[in-house]
Amino acid sequence: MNQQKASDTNLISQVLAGNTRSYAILLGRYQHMVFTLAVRMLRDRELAEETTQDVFVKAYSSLQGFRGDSKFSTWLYRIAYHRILDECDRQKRKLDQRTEYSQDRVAAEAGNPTWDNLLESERKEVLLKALSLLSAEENSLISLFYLQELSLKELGEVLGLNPDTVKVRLFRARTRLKTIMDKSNAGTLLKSYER
Amino acid sequence: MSDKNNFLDTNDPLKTLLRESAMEQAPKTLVSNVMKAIDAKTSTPDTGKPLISILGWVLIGTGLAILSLVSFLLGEGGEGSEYLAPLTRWIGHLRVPSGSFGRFPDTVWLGVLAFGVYGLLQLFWMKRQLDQQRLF
Repeated sequence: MNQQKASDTNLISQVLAGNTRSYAILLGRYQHMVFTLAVRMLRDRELAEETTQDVFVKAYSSLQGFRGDSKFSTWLYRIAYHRILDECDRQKRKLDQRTEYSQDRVAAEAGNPTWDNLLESERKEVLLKALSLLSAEENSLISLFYLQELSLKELGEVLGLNPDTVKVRLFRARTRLKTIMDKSNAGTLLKSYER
Repeated sequence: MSDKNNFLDTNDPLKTLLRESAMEQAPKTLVSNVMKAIDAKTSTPDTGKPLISILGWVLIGTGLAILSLVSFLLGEGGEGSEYLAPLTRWIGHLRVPSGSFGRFPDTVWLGVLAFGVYGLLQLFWMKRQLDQQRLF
């Protein structure tokens, strides 16, 4: 079987049988998503890289405990979410002290009335600044729902919440992001995607 | 867009925007770094320190031996002194009082035994907890 196309379950069986190389394939599949989650929640790329490494090493150590009740990705994101959250708590003081972009500053920097005039990199910068104003939990909800396309039930498993609670919190996070973007005129960008 | 009902819509423009702009690329060295850490972890034998070191066990054993000896020597009469007699004669000037373990009710011995078993169980439990902590 082509290793790259093997299912997560097959790869896990191979890893548990002693083939550590198969873990590199699983790692390759999920590294970007876990790293994205870490960057969004921690807002520090270097720390996010270290934490992502920890997550994968910890997942490897705990792999025997994976019973296959849920998808491997959901199981992995649960480990990642809690490990990153621990790191957030550890860094809380530093994060509180760091210079944050205020909503007004985002608005001022993105004061361009026409989003069409903004370069793609500038659009990305404004969106990322808006995301940086959300809490770690809001960022995790947005990342896992919109980027990883986890269902509400899976999100609930990752965050340890009831799916209805997840839905409410996701709605609030989205509303908050949209409000920040509207303030910075970035709302027009969203509208341009609706066309 | 009526957010309340449509925010779960798969065609949500926010989703498109986020997928275009908010996805991060993990550093190229991440996979190799993780695999190195895992290889190091799997190739290194368990170097976890025992809860009680050899020196600790020696000290505990010595303490128990001294305690037994003191109890024996300070006890009331008995045959114990006969075992030490050759030693005291050999040392010459050392005078060891005669003694025995004394007379304790059976309930005391049972209590000591129960306490010892409980203590051992506690030690095993603590060791297990500490071993688990070391994994993470």
